[in-house]
This record gives sequence, structure tokens and C-alpha cells, in this order.
Amino acid sequence: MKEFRYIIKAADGIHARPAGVLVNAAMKYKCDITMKANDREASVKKLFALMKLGIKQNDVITVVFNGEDEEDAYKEITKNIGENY
Amino acid sequence: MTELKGLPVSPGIAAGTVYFVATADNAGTPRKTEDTEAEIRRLTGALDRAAEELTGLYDKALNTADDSVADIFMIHGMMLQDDDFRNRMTALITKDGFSAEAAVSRAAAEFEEDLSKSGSDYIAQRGADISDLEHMVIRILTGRSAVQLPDADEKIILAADEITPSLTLMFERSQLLGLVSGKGSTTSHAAILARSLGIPAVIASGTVLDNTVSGVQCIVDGVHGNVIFSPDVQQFEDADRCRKKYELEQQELLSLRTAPAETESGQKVTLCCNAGSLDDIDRALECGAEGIGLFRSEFLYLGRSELPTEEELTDVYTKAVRKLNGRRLVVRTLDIGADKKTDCIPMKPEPNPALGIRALRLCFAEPDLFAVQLRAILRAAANGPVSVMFPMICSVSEIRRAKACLTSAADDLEKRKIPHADRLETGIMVETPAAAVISDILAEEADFFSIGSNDLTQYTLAVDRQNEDASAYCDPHHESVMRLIELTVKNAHEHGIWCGICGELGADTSVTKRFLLSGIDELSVSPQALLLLKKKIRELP
Repeated sequence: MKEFRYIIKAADGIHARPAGVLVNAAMKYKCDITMKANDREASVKKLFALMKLGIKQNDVITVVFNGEDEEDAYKEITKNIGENY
Repeated sequence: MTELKGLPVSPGIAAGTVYFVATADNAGTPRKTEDTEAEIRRLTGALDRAAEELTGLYDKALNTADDSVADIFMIHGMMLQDDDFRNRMTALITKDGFSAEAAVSRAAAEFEEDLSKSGSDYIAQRGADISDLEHMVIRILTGRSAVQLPDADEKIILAADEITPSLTLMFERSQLLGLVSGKGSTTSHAAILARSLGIPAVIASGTVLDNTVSGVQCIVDGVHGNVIFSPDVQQFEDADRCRKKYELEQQELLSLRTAPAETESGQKVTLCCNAGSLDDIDRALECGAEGIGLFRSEFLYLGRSELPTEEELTDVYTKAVRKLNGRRLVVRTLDIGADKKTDCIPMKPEPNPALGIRALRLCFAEPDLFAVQLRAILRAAANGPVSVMFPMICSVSEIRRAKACLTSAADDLEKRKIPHADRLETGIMVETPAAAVISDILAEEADFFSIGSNDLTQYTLAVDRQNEDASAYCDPHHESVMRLIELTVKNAHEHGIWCGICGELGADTSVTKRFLLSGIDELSVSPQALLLLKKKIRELP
């Protein structure tokens, strides 16, 4: 299991368009990828679930990777989040 | 005559005949079904059709608008494929015996409700995207034709209870003079599309628009947010005058992109932009900036759990240099303190972070943190003009110490045989009253000054600029601040170095005249402010 903590910088938080890019990236991996924020959690592979977390600027998110290809998923997803949020 | 006050979401003024489009709904369709299998087949078929239409709209958006608009349809496609959403619609049919139409409406309403409870206004507004999808699927299910389109040569003001991106793109761009929507927000996707296509648009919030406005003459003022149905002659003339004035102003501002920032008597000022990311540099170049007067490094550090490496910093700075193609890039070293925290730099909580271990003081406390930045800046400078600027200087010893760190960073690169600039233009960010008062002494140690007016105001007037209750005391026009700025410029010039302003005050056109009288060499402002500032400078005697 791998974990990644991050503070959202983007003014709009995790909004629809970049969320779509994130979901598409997550779908490529077999491992479970879960995002926790504001005492809720959602699969990063599900667009609506991710949007419902309502992540805003300065929110602290934790992304947990669990499964066989978690190393690769961690690399790509953390890069994606770092660049977009 | 009916006049509505709405939210201007896309600038411009237009007048024309209203073309009203009713939103598809499931009125008249059965709510319940016995044959759930047949309903599931209808639903699946309609969802497939909708996916095809969205692909078509995506392609059309790529051709007529821009990538960001096309992405809206990509997101709509993904929403339609979302398992949770599809499973809910299917369950409403199989478990509750809903008709396909009713299932779509119910599921859409539930998901909109969930988004509205997400706690983020931005996400809540995405409910509009769900209802766009809902209407599309219901239109397909009910077999109603998409939308009755006007003749191809007819120019219209498009009105609907809710204008959606897909509705907008059904019309040719040349047909659309303006948009009036009963629902929406500045960040709604239809508003983004309108701005991208350059169509004036107003959201007349709270107004129920219906067929009675169809065929009526209408003025849409996307600058002020006014909508006038059946205007009188006077209003038509006023609108026309406003439109001409607005278009002229826009043209004039845009035409200033390449014009020199020069007063009527020939005094020149270098106009640059402040940037906090690589995207900001693109925006700066679009408005004709002559360089980046303040490149904030903080974005490379904030919100991370690990420090950026020397390679990473070098890469970003080099990209910035390449984008600027010969224009100067002024990189400010890390300006971070206990008020701006990041996981990658441990910082003790401080009772008064504005007066604590921040910016250069933090860099002195963490020599490696500082050295990595300086090496990256020196390496990037091998590719084009780069200057380094040190924030929070109060004493001569501090600038000397910073310069010694810069020299040892260069020595280190030299030993490792890594390409770098031999010498960097080195500047002081004048943002403490101390630095301004001794600017004659500091000028001997620096190649330039850049005045950080925001902090200079806060430290001079002893007022926390984050504290809203004290905001009445935070007056950047205060004579003390202005005099410190003038003193700094005078001392810079007496020692033969240049002086700029990179704080918000630089963009404040009410004091531009005074700055020019002081002989300021450079103003560095946000991309949105640059052309207006240039216009102001060119109008000065």
C-alpha cells in the first residue's frame, strides 16, 4: 500500500475538467485508488464520486494506492495531481 | 418594454431578434412501466445515441472553439459512462418500475442534489452539466427533433431557460449575436463557451424565460448585465453607442499590445508581468509584456510533501526562459514563512509570522534549500537573460551574505562542470521600510531594486494585510509609503541602477503619474492589468 498527502492549491479545487483527466489516468491501473478528504472518501476511478468530495483550495487530500501495480499508479497519479491541482 | 438585470458572463453588446428554445422535458411521457426489459433497452439505446452525439459535439468544438470547450463534452461523455450514474438509472427501472424518461430525470435530480451538497460552490454548479445531459437523453428517448433551427442566414439572440454548451453549438457561430439564459453562473460551461466564441451573454437569474419572448427585439449587454426586450428607439440608439464604444475600447487596448509604453513627452517605462506559474508567462506574452518582473518560486514548493530537486527547478526555470525568448526573467528566491506553509519545509509555528523566519531568513536557516534554488537559477540563466532577486532584505550584511551564497553555488556548478551563467544580475526586493531608508547603501551592492509595495505598505503602516478588520488602516497611497518609494527610486538612480515596482500598486493607475514623475524604470503587473496601465501611461503628458 502506498499513500500520498497533498494540499490543493488550485483556486477551483478539483473541478470537473481536470477531474476527468484524473479519472482517465486512474482507470489505466488495476489497483484500488481511493481519495480521502473532508472525512469522506471516493474511488478516483469514478467521476461523480470524486466530484462529490467537493474538494476546495487548501483542502488536505490523501490518496491511497492498494494493489499489484500501485508503484506505477502512484508515480503517474501524484504527478498528475501535482501538475493540475 | 421589459428590462432585466442579470449577470454578465461574456462581454460585448448585441441587439437582434430573440430565438427561444424550449428545454426538453419528460412531460407527457409515462412515469411507470410494466415491461422493464424493454425500458432498459430504450435507455441503453438512448445513452449510446447520446454518447455518439457528444463525440460529434466534441469534434465540432475542437474545430470551432478551443480545447477547453471540447473538454466539456469529454466530461459529459464520462458522466454518461459513470457506473454509479448508470446503475442508479437501471435500478430505478428494474426495482421501482420507472419509465426510462422518469428514471433519467430522477437519477439526474439525485446526482445534482448530491453535487449541491458537496460543499464546493464550483462543484455544485456542475449540476448544470447533469441537466444538460438529462435533456439530451430525454430528447432522444421522446424522439423529439433536436431543436428547430432557424434559417442559416438568420441572425439571432438565443434565449432559453437554461443555455447549455450543446445547445449553443447547434447553431452556426455566425448566427449567434448574443445569449440570454434563465439559469447558470459565471463558471457554467455555457458561459465559458460563450467567452471562447466571443458571444455577448447574460444570465437573467431568477427569470423564467418562455415562448412569449420569441421573435421579440432584444438588447443583450454582456458588459453591464442588462437585457432589454422590445426596447424603444432611444434604448436601441444607446445600446448601439455603447457597443461601438466598447468595441473601440477593446480594439484600442489590443492594438496597444505592441505599442511602446511611453508618455506623450517621450518618457519610457518598461512594462512587465508578474507570474506564478508557466501558464502565467503565456498570458504575459499574449498581452505584450516586455519580460517577467517577478517570477514567484513558491508554486514549486506549496502543497508538496517532498522538496523539488535541483533538476526539477532548473527544468521549470529553463522552460520559462525559453518561453520568454530573450526577454528578462526575474526570479525571486523562495518567499515563504509560517503564514504560507508547505509540508516539504518544516516550520515552527510563530506568533507573528510576518515578522518571523520567512523568505530570505528561512533560506539562511536552511542553507541547502537556498543552494538548490541558486544553482537552478544559475543553470537556467545559461539559456537566456535571468536575474535573481532576494526578498525581505533589511541590512547590507544580508545582501552580502545572499551574494556569497550565490558565488558558492556558482563555484559548486563550476566544479561539477555543469553549464551555468557566469554572472547574474542581482536585485533586492525593497519591501521593508529599513531597505527603503538605507537604499543609498544597498544600491552599492545590487544591480537593481524592485519595490514590493504590498509588504512595504504592511510594514510601514504596521498593519497586517491579512486582517480584514484592519483593512481601513492599510492604505498603500499613504504619504509615508509613497515617499519611501520615491526615496528608493532616487537612490537607485544616483547609484546608476534601475528600479521597478512589482507589487499591486504598480497597476494602480491613480498613482501612475506620480511614479513616472519619480522616474520609475519598470512596472510589473498582472497580465489583466497590463494593457490598461499602458493606455494610462500613453495618455500622460
